[in-house]
Amino acid sequence: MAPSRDSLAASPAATPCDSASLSSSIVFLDNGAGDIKCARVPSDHFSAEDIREAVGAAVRIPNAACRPRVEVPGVPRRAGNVMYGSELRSCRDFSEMSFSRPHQRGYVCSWGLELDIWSHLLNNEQAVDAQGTHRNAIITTAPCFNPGHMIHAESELVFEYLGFQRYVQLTSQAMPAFAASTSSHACVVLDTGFSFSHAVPVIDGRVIWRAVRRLDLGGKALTNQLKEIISFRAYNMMRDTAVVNAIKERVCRVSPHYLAEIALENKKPRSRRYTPTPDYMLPDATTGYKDPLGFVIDPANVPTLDPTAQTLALTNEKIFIPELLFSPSDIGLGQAGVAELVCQAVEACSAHLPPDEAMRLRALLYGNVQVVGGNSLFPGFVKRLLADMRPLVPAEIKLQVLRAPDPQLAALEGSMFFTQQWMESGRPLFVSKAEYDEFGPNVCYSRFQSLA
Amino acid sequence: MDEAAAAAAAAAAERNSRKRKRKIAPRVLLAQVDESARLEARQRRLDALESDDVVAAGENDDEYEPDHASEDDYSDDAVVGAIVGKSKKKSKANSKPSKAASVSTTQKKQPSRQKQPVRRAIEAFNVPLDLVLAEEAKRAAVEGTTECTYEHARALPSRFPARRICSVCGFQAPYTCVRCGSRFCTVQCGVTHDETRCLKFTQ
Ligand SMILES: [Zn+2]
Ligand SMILES: [Zn+2]
Repeated sequence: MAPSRDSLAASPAATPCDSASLSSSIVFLDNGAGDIKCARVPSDHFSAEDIREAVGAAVRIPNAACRPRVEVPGVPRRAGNVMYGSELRSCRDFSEMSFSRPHQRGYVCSWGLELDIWSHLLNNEQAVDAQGTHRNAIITTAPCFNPGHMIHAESELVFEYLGFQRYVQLTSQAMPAFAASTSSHACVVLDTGFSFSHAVPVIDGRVIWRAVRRLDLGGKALTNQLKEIISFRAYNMMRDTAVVNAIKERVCRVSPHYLAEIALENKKPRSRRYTPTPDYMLPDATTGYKDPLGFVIDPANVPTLDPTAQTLALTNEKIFIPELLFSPSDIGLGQAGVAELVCQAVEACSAHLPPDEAMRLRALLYGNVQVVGGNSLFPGFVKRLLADMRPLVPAEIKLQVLRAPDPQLAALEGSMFFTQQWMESGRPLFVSKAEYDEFGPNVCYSRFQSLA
Repeated sequence: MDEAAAAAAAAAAERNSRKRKRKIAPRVLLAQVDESARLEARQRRLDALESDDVVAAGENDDEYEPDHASEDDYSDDAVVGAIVGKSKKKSKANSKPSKAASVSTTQKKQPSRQKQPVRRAIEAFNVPLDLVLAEEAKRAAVEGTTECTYEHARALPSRFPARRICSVCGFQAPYTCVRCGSRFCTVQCGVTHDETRCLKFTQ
C-alpha cells in the first residue's frame, strides 16, 4: 500500500515476547505492495491501549526479496543471494540493489515469493514473533476488489504453509476509516500508495463499493519516472531504485501552484535553471557515508566536498514528480487526479438519491476526507488537495481534509480497531482451519465479502 | 528570441529524428499513427512505469546479467522478468487472453530450481493479473455485480483538458509528437521522448 518510506532505515528495537502469550496472539499483517506493516496483539480481547502499543512496535519491511550488489556480512547465504526485511538494516550499500516484488499492479501475483517473505517475517521479526507451532490467528489486508483467485491462494498459504488456525482478510483501503483519528460515521478514505490511489467512501462502517474509485498511479511509478529523469539529466541511476526512492521521499514536494511555479522557473536564464545548487549527496560505498541512501544537502551549509563526491541537483522534477498525482494527464494517463478522484467517489455515492438527501450525504463525506498512504507524506500534499478540491465542491459545503498521524500505519491501526469492534459485536470474523478444511477456500471468499 | 530559437531547434530535432527513423522504420513515419495505436503506445509506456527492475530471486539466476546496458533495464520485458515477467510477456504477446483457462500452465514451464520443491506448489497460483481480472469480470457479470469490480472503479478522465506539459521533464511544452501525441518542451526532451518512449512503444 505504501512506498518504502523509512522502511530501509533502522526501526525501534524489537521486544521479545513470552511464549505463553504467543499461543493466543493475533498477528496483523498489512500486506502493502511496497511495504509490509506488521504487528501483534496479545489475545482476542485487546484494548485501545494494546492497539496503541502494538502499532508503536509495528514492523515495517519492504514487501520484496532484495538482492544487494555485494554480499552483506551476517546474512545467511541463499539462492540468488537474496535478503529479506530487517536484514536490510545491516546493509550499507543500496546502490544497484534489485527488488523482486510479489505484487503486480497492486495485487499479489507471485505466491512463492510472498510465502518466502512472510515466512521470514514471521520467523525472524521478534515484534511479531510467531515461530514454531503456536501460530494462532492472522489478519491480513488486500486491496479493494481482491479477486477470488487471490483469496484462494492466500488462504492456502496461511492455513497450509504457515499453519495458522484462524484467518481473515480485510480491505486495506477501508481500514483507515476505523482508525482512532477517524471519529465520524461517514468518511472518504484517500489512500495513495505504492501501486495506485483509491478513494473509498465508508458510511456507518460499510464500504460503498460501487462508489470506490481508483487512479492507476502510485509511488512506484513516481520513483520510476524520477529514475528516468535523473538518468537522462545527470547520472545513470536506472538500477538505483532504493536510492532514487529515498531522493523522491526526501527532496520532492507538492507545489501549491505548479504552472505558476514552472513559469517562474522558465523565465530564468537557461544556465541558472539547469545548474542550481546541489540538493542531494549520493551515497558512495567507498567513502562510507553515514546514510547508505545518501542525504539531503542543507543549502545553508553546503559541506566541503571531496572531489570524488557525487552530488545531485534537481530542478523542476522536485515538484513535477508529485504533481503527477494531481495531473496524471501530464504523462498521458487519461484518468483524473487525486482531487477529482475523491469527488468522483462522493458523486457516485450520492448519484441515486433525491437532491436534499444527496446534499446531506455530500456534506458528510466532504467534511471528513481522510488521507493515508506514503504519497501523502510529500510536503504540501494536503494543502494542495484541499485547494484543488475546493472549486469542485459546492460552495456551501464545508470541506475538511485530514491526514492520518502516521499515514502508512493507518490501515494497520484501523484493522485492529475494526477487529475489536467486530468481535465485540459477536459477529463471525475469522475463518477457522476446521471450516477451511470442511468447506474449502470458498468459505473465506464469502466470509470476507460479509465484512466491511 | 529564446522561444524562436527553441522552436527552430525543435523543428531541426524533428527533422533529424525523421531522417533517423526513416532508416529504422519507414512505416511508422509514413502512416500517421491512428488514435488506437497512440493509446496503445501510451498504455505500454504507463505499464513500463509500473515495472520492477528486477530478476526473480533464486529463479532466473542464469538470466541475471548485472552488466547489461542500462537503458534496456527499463520496460524491457526480458529484464522486467521477475517471477511474473515470464507470463506477463506471454500475455502481452497475444494481447487478448484467449486461453484464459491456462491458469497454471504458464508457470509449469519454468524450471524449478528451488531447494524445497514442496513449497513451489503454491506457485500454481501465479497467474498474470489480466487473466485473473478477466475471470473476475466474468463472475461479476454472472452475479450481476459489475458495479463492484476493479474495472468499474477505474477513475474517469479528468473534466479538464490535458495541460501542455512536457511528458519528459514537466516544463511547459509547446510541441506535440506527431506519432503519439505526447508533448515535449525542447530538443533535448524531444530526442529523449523519441528514443526511449515513442518509438520504443509504437512499433
Ligand atoms: Zn521537457
Ligand atoms: Zn511520440
